[in-house]
Amino acid sequence: MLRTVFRASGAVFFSIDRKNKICLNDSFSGGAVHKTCNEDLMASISDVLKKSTIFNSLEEIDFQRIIPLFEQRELHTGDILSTAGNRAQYFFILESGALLLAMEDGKSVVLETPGDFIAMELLSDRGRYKTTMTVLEDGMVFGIHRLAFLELIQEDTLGAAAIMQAWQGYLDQTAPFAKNIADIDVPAIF
Amino acid sequence: MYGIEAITANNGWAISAVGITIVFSGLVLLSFVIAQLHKGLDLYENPQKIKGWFSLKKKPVKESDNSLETEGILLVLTEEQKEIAKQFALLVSTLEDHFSLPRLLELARISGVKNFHSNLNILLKSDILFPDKEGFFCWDQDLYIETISH
Repeated sequence: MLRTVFRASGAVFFSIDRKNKICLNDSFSGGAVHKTCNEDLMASISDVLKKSTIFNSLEEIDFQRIIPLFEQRELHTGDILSTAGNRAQYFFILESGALLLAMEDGKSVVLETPGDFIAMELLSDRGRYKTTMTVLEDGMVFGIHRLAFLELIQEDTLGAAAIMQAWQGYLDQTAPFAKNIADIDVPAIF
Repeated sequence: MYGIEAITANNGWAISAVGITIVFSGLVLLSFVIAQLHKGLDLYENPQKIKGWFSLKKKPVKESDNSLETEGILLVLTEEQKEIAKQFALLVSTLEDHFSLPRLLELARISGVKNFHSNLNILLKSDILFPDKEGFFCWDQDLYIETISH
């Protein structure tokens, strides 16, 4: 991964990971360039979250809280986004493209709908990826740090409850064979 | 009379032209037969295709520059994509009816299938490859035949 850091005129500070993600880290005293780029990114994330069956029932205040947690990543055909056995760092929400999720025992699922959320039972088990994700079609995902998301859903809030309820319905439809049994403390084991 | 005069006097040129025409016609016919042999063999293996010639076409076929149309209509593949679909069909024939998609992808990689990720995606989009809801995938042979014959 090539990471380039620029500091120009003591005003703009941003980092570009050329292979995978584009993100903005700091503020710009002038305001114009950073504000436009950041707003576009936030708008994209917001669009995808509203398309997602997991997040579309959240209140606006919950949206504003979780949007900054996401980072954008480009997908290129053939890329491996996660490898089973590696330490699980991110969960992902698909903006565009297609992903093959290869799980245990040869089972798999293909996700290609904008808003598809790849997390928890679909992706990790006790801090390790249990799924190898391969990109089948160029596109874009937004990644949220695994611990940040797990912290979010373990809160005693309506938003957290809505997310978990929606997740169960989503999993029933997408990959019922990957579902954990009900009496396990679900968030803790991912 | 000898030489050219003899040939001319005895219609030699006409006889030569007829001979050349017969030989080359035969060669052209033979090359055409060999070129179309695969279709004949395909028809021999799948006689139900003959029924398809006489039945009404229910699905409209739409061509585009991209040669990849969805929205519930039959995909039109390029010749190259059709050849690659045939390679996938061969690989699928070595697997169970409900097979592992990652396994198929790995077989495609080992076999040297060109752009195997993109082409697998095309087969998924065309519903030739479809999930069985149990984590495995199946191959729709009828749809595959219909797709490659357009």
